[in-house]
Amino acid sequence: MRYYISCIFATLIFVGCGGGSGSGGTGSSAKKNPPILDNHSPVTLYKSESITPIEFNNHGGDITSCRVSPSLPSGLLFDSGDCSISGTPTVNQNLKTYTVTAKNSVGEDSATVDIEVITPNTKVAKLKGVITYDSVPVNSDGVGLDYAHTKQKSVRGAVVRIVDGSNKELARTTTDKNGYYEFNVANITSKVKVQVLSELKSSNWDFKVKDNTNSDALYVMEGSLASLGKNSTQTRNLHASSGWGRNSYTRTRTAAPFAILDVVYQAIQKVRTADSSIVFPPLDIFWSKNNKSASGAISNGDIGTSYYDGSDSLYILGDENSDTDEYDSGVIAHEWGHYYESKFSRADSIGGGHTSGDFLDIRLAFGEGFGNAVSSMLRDNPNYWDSSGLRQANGWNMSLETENSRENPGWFSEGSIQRILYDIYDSHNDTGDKLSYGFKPIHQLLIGKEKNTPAFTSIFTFIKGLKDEHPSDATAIDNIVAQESIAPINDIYGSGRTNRRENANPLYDELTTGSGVTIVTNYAVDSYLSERGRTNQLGAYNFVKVIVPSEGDYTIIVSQVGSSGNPDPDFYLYRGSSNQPVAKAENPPALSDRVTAHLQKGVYRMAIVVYNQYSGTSYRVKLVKN
Amino acid sequence: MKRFNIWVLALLVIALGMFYFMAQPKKVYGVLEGDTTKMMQKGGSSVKVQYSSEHVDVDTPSRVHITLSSPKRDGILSVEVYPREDSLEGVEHKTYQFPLTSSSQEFTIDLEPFSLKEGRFYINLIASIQNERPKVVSIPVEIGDISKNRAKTSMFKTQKGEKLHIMKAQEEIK
Repeated sequence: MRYYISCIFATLIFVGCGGGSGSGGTGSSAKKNPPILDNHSPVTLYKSESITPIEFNNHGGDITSCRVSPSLPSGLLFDSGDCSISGTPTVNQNLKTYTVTAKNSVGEDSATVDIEVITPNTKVAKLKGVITYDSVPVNSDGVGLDYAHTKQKSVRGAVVRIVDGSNKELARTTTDKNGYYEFNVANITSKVKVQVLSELKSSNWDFKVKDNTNSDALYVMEGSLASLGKNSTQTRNLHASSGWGRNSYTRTRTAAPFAILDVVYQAIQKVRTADSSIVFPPLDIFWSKNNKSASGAISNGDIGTSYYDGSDSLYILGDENSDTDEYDSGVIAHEWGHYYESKFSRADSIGGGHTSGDFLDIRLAFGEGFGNAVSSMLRDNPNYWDSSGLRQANGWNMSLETENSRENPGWFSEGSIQRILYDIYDSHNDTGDKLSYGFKPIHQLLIGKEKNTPAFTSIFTFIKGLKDEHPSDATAIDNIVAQESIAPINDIYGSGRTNRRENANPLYDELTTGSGVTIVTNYAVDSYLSERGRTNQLGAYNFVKVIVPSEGDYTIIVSQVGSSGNPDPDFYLYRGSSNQPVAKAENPPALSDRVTAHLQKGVYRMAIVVYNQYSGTSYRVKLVKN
Repeated sequence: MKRFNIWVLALLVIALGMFYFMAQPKKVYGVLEGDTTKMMQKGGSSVKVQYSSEHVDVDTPSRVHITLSSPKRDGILSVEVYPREDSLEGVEHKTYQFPLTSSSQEFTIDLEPFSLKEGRFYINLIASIQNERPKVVSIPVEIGDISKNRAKTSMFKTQKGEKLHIMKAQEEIK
């Protein structure tokens, strides 16, 4: 309504509204933009010492001219072409804010920098202290964050360094398990500050928390630039605040990256109980207060959700009043668990929407159940919570020990799988659970049999591998599995199970050269979901064990028995420890699809999905040697 | 007579101007579309959320169409909607409730947000069914030049090329 009223008013004075001069399309940025400058961090300069040029990050249009106000300290030079500051200060200057304004033909933008100029000072022998952060717990009922009971916790294993006023690193160390650090320094005559990097680093690992909305910058909390004093020892304790006011975040959320880092610290320690010399591939964890549950550009914070990208990055939500995850330690450990599974074992999960009562694709069910179970193992806490909503006051929680809340238990349920895995791990014995393996046997299984299993990773591969490695515990393992209404598991292909509750479609068909096999596709549990593209539910994919009798070129053909509809059959062939297909067929819709590949003698696994046809339809699958 | 003609002409020009501008369609730069089944997601509600959102000019209502669907056939689908930014107007904080039945599993919400400021804004949506985990989605609404409300950042680059996001610690020196 407001639009139309303003249109009428504008019409009367012969000025248009709406329309504008945009050229259409989803991106509305003009081809030429005004400069957009970022503020610069405060800098401390030394009298009579040449400075590292101070440059402002511009992510807008080209700059044609610059100005600064007020005048810079004597000796510093301002470049009116690119806004940079250089030179050698000749006088001392208390901390003062300078505003730089960049301009072009479209417009202008301003940014600030705080500058102080000091005289170098004297030295000290020892600098030590404790680094802490605000840890916000979940409410006692497991729903929402409880800011009133925020606790200070140690920042463990993080990189600490001392730097001078120009941020030149003078020494570095790491905090111990109590957050304690200590430097024995000599010949430092200048003022220094302590910086704590959001980084866990050793010769065996390097985990960083970075800001994906700020040029992927590493989070650093720092103290003030101060003299080391005349005593032989100085203590500087640094604390990262949550930034929470009474009803909202009112200050910088300094604690968030360190809360995330501490979950990773716990995870490292847990895995090292199984293998003390393990080397972790580097991982960047991206968190920002701008990280939202929205689709869009990651650099804008539109990450969709907290997730592991399958490679070397993990993204964590931080959007106040909607969904923040920095204090949801179970969520962070779950996503880190996906990284661990991917790097050390094998993750065959196809992803997509999921919840505990769903009938899921066995690969997804195992991946997500494993993620929840390993999350609790890494933290030694069976409780998992995920806060959300206004003031982070809502959300949900679950306990992996809860025995009376099983919804649709089975080998297709992430809820069942997480309870089975956690019962095998934990020292708490309950109904049907007499095992307390701890982490080492699970780690060894994951990096061995589970990684190399010829079948898709599922509860069948995991339990079969566990029973093979611990044959004397076979009955105890069967008893835990039975609590989830799963009959004893004795092979990796889930023999004896059907692809759906009601039909007789086997979980895996077996294919070799010859006449082929007939499968019934899309015998999914819920046709409502199938019609809406939910291909991660049980029965949407068909699995085939493929036996290649000898090395050679083969063609695999999947063709409909009949000619109904406009189907789009696709399929993927895998082998060994890789979750990348050795061959795949993703051609446009047709009654059949095929692929030719050079195959080695041995066992492969194949996943077939048919789009555009969501009722059970017969397809013939053939393996033909060329 | 001459005066009369001048007035008639002036009124005609005004009327034509009004007609021209009223007839001008609302400028829509594009339509954003989203679908939670195509997004990475944490474990959560089985509710699927689809949306479309018009990119429009300042002070112009964007048509935001949201479709929610669930395989559940009983219970109440509760949908809390509120703007992320105060400057996004036309969306009030409201909780919609939809009864789920075997014949009623899909629901729509239509909103007309607008803003006097340019930028990319969001409507927060939290969907849940009793005893289920909620699903949180932020629906983007683009107004004018979307780079305008981009948060200012403060990145520091050291001499060694490290990019740092520096935050002040609470410090005790003794």
